[in-house]
Amino acid sequence: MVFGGDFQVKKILSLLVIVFVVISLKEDAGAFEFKGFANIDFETVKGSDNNEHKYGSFIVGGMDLYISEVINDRLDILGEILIDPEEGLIDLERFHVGYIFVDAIKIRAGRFHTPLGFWNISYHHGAQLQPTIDRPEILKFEDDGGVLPTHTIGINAVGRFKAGDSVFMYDIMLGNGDQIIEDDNNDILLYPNVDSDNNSNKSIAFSFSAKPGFLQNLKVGISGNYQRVHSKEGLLVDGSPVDIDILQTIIVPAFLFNVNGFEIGGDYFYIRNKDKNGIDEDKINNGYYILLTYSLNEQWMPYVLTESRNVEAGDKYFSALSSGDLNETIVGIKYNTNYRSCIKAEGRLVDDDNDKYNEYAIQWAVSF
Amino acid sequence: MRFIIYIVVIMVLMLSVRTYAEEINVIANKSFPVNHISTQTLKEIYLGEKVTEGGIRIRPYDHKNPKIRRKFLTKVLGVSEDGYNAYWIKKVFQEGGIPPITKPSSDEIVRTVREDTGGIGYIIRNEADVSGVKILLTIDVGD
Repeated sequence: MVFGGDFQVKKILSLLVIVFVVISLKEDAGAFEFKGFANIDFETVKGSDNNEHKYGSFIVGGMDLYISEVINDRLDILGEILIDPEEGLIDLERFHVGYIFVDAIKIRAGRFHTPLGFWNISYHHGAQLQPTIDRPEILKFEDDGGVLPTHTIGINAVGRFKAGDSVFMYDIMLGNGDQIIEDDNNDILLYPNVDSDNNSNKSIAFSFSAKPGFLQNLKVGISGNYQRVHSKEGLLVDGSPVDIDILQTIIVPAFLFNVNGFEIGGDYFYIRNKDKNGIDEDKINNGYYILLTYSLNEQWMPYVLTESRNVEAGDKYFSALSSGDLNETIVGIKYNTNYRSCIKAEGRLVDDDNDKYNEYAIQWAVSF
Repeated sequence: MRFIIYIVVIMVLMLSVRTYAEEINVIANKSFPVNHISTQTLKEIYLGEKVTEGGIRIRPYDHKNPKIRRKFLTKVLGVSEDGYNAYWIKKVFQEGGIPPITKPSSDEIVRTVREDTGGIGYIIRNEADVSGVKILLTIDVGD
């Protein structure tokens, strides 16, 4: 999240102190290594005069650095920071300390990706790893104008166990709920309450998934998140005061199936926003993406992604976040020059609240 | 006559090389909680899905020799070298942890596994003295 320079410096310094302290606990404490991802894109838009890339733009996608260390037999840490060229800030994306008891029980504390569906826990900022150039719109990060709680600060328990040939995984999380704020750039954003919660209600997230023994190429899952979202006191949207106080329930069934190089998968999002004060009616919204890929010799990967977001009229939450109906289809191809570098090219057909336009983009993404 | 002897010697050498390269021994520390593992479990260990056994943290070791490593990855894990490397970049970035540590030789793998309670490694059969470790699995990896 990107919210102010001084605040960012404090956060990063705090992170570094924690990292150094934890790593110094290691018996053979020595040098540790940051690894990372970076990408450079070119994007152009046809059919929309309001789009910032209408003249064609080169975009530096940011440098994503991460550190992963095993401290001892039980303890490990993972930290991820993003150097954001647009905001000119360093942004703490993830940081957690984990303690493993057995494969079936690991306890972690810190800042995570919320276990909603399969995409959000599979892909983070490393563009080189994901098939498409960008995340699906419904899964945009909070500071990019996203509408889902993709990050949570709190504690969680994760585990994996087998029953016969079947494999089961779970993830249960307790954390701060979100609030809606206006950031330093006057953008209205969902904010995952990084330092302090603005109410006593904690968010609860869960995820259960399985790979059945009789069909090991299939993975199915169900996940969800329940939280109170209360806008910051005195929030102004388009100059008018807004008070949003909702109980939000998100349920996400997901699937992934692969056979002979083909892979198809998707997440469906059911989002119910219930007015905590009982004045407004419940608002039911939904969205989904489906992604089809084909892997050829581990080098070429053509893909098609289709996604949709349907917002019920009068939903204050989506309205404050300037988010409405959306339909998008993406057709593209990814070429892996080797396992650390890839080039992607894609065309997008976008229907955003009846503003229809085409986007074309190329990306060179690397890991190092 | 000399020609026939040459041919026989070459054939014997080829056969011995073939035998030498056909099997991989999966070894573990003497304190490792189990005495035998399946190929599927071995795959889960080297892909970081299974990290504990009987309360002990498992530490898999990779072979630096590209020929042996490639054979292990393709014949046992069913992945290419690039696929394996890419898998571990993704795995570490998603969940944390570290990939298997690479050791330069079979002797070094045996020595490390001998000293590491949770150590597990693979070597070409008969390539190193395996006293002080136990063999969990022998896998025919072909030519």
